[in-house]
Amino acid sequence: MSTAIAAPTDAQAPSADEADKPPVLLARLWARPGGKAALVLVVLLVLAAILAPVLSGLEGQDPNTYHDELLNSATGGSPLGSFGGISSAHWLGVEPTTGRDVFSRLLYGARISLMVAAGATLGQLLLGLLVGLAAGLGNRWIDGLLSRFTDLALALPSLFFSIALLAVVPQTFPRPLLLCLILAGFGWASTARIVRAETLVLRERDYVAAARLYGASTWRVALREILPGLVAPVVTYTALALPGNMVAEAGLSFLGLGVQPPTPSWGQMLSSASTWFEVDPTYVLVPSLTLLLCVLTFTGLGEALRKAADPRSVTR
Amino acid sequence: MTVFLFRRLLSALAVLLALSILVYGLFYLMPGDPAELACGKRCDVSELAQVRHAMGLDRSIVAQFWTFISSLFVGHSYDTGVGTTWCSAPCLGFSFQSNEPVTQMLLDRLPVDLSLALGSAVLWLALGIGFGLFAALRPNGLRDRMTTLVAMTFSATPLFVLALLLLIVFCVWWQVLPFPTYVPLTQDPGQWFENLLLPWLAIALVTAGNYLRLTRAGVLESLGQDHIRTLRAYGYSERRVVLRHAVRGALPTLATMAAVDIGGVLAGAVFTESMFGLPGLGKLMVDSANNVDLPVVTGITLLAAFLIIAANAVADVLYAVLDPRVRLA
Amino acid sequence: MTQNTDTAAALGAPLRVEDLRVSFPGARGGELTALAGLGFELAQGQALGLVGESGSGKSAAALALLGLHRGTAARVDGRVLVRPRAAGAEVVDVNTADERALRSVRGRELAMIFQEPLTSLDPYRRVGDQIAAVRRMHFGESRKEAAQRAAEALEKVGIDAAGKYRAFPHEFSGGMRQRALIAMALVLEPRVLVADEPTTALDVTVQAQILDLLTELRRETGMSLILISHDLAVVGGTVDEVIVLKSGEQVERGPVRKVLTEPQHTYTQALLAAIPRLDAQLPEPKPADDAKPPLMRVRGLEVTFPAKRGAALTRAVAGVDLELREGESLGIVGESGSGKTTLGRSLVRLQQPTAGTIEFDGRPLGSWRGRELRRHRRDLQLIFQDPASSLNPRRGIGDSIAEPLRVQGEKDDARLEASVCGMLERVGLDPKLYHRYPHQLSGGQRQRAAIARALILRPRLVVCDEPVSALDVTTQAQVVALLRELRAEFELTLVFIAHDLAVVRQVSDRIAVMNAGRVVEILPAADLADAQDPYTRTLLAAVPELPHV
Repeated sequence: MSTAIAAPTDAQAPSADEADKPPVLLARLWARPGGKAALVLVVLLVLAAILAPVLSGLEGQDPNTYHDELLNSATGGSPLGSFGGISSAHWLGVEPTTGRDVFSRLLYGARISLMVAAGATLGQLLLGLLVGLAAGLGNRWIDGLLSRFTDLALALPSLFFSIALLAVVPQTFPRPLLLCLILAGFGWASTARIVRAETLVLRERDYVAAARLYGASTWRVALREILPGLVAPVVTYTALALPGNMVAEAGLSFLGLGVQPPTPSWGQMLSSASTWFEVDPTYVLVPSLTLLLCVLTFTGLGEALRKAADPRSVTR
Repeated sequence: MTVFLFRRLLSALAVLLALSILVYGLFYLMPGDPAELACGKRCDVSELAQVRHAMGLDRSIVAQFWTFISSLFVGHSYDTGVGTTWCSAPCLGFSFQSNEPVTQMLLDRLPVDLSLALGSAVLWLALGIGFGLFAALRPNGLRDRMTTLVAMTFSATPLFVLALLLLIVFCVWWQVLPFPTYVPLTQDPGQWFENLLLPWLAIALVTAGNYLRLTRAGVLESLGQDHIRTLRAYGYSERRVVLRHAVRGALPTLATMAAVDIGGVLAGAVFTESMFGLPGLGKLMVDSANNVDLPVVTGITLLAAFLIIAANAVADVLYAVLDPRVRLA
Repeated sequence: MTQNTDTAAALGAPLRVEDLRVSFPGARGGELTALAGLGFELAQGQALGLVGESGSGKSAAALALLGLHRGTAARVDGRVLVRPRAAGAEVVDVNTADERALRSVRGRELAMIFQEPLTSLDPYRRVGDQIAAVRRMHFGESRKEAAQRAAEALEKVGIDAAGKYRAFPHEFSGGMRQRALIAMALVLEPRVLVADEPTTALDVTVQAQILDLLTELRRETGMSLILISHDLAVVGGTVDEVIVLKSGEQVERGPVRKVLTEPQHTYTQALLAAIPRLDAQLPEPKPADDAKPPLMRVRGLEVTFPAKRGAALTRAVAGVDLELREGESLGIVGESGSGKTTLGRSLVRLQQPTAGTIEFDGRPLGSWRGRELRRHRRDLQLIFQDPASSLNPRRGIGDSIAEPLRVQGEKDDARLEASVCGMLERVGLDPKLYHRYPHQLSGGQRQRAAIARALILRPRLVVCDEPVSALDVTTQAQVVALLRELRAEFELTLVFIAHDLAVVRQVSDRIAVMNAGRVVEILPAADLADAQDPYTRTLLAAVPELPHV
């Protein structure tokens, strides 16, 4: 054996203490202060929604009981007392005209909001992943067809379509499910486009060519070489799509087209609040700020994920 | 260049055709009878049949669609039973609710959206690009972080929440601005401006964040590029490098995004109009949807699709013009 | 000229560097020293070479000369003294000068050209305008005057100003862009030109033209030149004096002839020994067994890529005939765009040919389908140019090397690990590196891992596509030696593709020269010097020569 075979002593060889596995996304996320805060808040929000009956019970109220005795009939039904009728019995006040408890309506509204946002995002993710992968891995014909289809879906004025669909579909169809379907139906295209673009980049990598060379099947290449590379961008994108869906659901309910009363939802609360903002600003601020907090928390989580997934931001 | 424009136009037309089939199919072939909706609640069987005939619903789907498309280009005459009404091209039918021609209804609303789009675009471009540069001049410094954080917060805020908050702050607490009502520009420019300020601000604050992020990222990316290093090595001042050359790199993307966003507002700012009570396309859409006024809903959706597709085509052309490396063929 | 350094200083040399140090903040609060004390004086008209491998600090030095580390995290100590030409002007220390003084020095006194001509010009502005703008800024001339000067500068570097002044950079070839950058430097009439790896991204024939141009311009204008390169041969033919850098330290300095023929420092000696030479003694080629049928036979091979929007369709390979005998090593040499990579990929069936046939072991390569194809894949392997991209970044290298065996049906984990460890040792890697990820290895180690993965299936034919061009000279020599040994041990038939004639010659029995998609000549490696084809002769003439030791 010649000297050339001896293990090389290149200057760039990193030191041995870096020989550990590259940290997984979640660990990298947890390591960022912003990521930690966002994760904790998200868990709290989800818990609050799940435990809505328990928490309302703690307050001693429920979302659907009318409290006419707490309203001022002279002003057309604004809550008695300052700050929208906030008291030890009604922690966040009561609703004008009906006197229903705002705190418990907010909690039950969170269930709808999170459920629809999660459902829509999941649907959008699955559809987008399927179409994007098929386009990215398929032959030119499949790719062309699916890409044109994606372009078409992206050119739709999605808000107008959603409004029209919600108006046309009979009320007997369950609204939360319809909202999920509509939001996923308009959201998948952007996911698909990202998945396709990432797949096209990955499939040109030499290690994919190498895998084909040693005889790996297309499935094996997709599962073992390409899919792992898609995890970070897709997770990040999904995390950022979720607050978008949350806003969209609240918006459609705000327009009176989403979940129908008496089921409480944030959009409806805001819609009825918008006629009261001069008399009872508290009733506007409470759901506004709650929705804002939720959206910002999820956006923050998405941003933190994006930074954690970006290898350039790893400072080790 | 002409070849490029022609190709782009052709593909835009193809998308539009596909969309109109989709729109028509979605709204007219849904469960539920459009004739019943058009006729109203107290409608007996013979009246219903008459309405159905007048609307052409007794003919085949293909024939119906053909009528729908051809009336867009050559107009259509409606048999109302009493006589015929001529609906001139581009004909989108008559509203179930008011019996007005839909095309005229849309044209009446368009100035509102035009005002909204242009005013807010000026504002969001100024805010976004201005603060983007501000942030990029000292990347990762305190002011960069603060600007980015504020911008992110605004762009994550739902438009209707922001509009409500603006109303409370400016109209209820401070009382410095009137509760907006639409005053046409031709009637009183001063009033027009004062009333639209709040809606503009709402749209601009939500939109500007993307432009800030893009400007900042574009400038920072350019600053790391080799040709910028060349400029520095040849004695260009940092100011000139950033303001003249690094911004240039972000320009094509900014311009295309602006084209698409302006097209979006033009097609109808649903939440802004509902919130501030402005009589634009978005408000009309929501009202018509709540009344299941199919011809109006179809008309607006089609117009919106047209505007968005046109905006995308403009965006592509802008990009090609602004980046010499894109081959125009 | 070098003997006059001292007198030149007395007259006011244009540039003097004293104890220049550059360091970057490193991991965990530490500091990484990129350059640890560089000092020299550059006389008017003198040409100085800075030579070193990656990590030697030569690029950090180049940027420090113009104060381009400002605004970054780098710390620069020492002095870079520039004496402006204007009579009575004060000497400027680039390291401490204020923004204004520094800008008056940049370009005007010290002009710089860069390694990446493809990206070093502003893509949004016309080439002529960019040059004129630089002139206008420093000289305050009118638009018309500046445009006139820019046109003159373009003509001087051999670009037709009338036709190309209004062109955009993307319409230029790499060599043209480097010429345009040189024109940008010339238009300011600088006293010193700093050229940082100016020819590394260029083909060897273009490299020769640019180096000639630099020498000619230096003679014509009397400016001084600092040429920074990893390639001793490039520097050798162009400069008067040379400084050899290693890990930021100046290890040797002297007149270029002397350093190249009588290197004093062991590192310089090793560096010189590692450079492949066209006139080096070759081992006796194995006598070819003509009786056996060839292992691979290529007939009329054509590969055409579909036309991109607006561009014509490209014929990457335009009719190639080849025969590969079992156990031989065929080198394929050509410049960028010659089709050598596409040909190599076709041989292992990564690229579907448009026309023509490839027979392997007497059977057409295209006839295998599905499972049978996958089984036969193991006979044909490829080693890629960039080991960073040929190994999956999300998998440890041991796992990557085991994957081919798994795909081919090996299930027993213990047996897998044993074979992988054996192979790791065989390519000169410590089996302890089994669980390391590619980004934790050096370039040379990665390429060894990629070789191990290609060989673990015991292929019969291995195509190496520029396997060493991403590596430093000394690492290059080690990997080439490894390939030579493995070839003998595994009885491989080798196709070795590279742009560097001297490298190809080291490992090949025969050499095929490619140009514009065709093989223009095939000849025994030993007879390369007697090549007949005019294109081969051009290639040979363009290779920078090193003096004999």
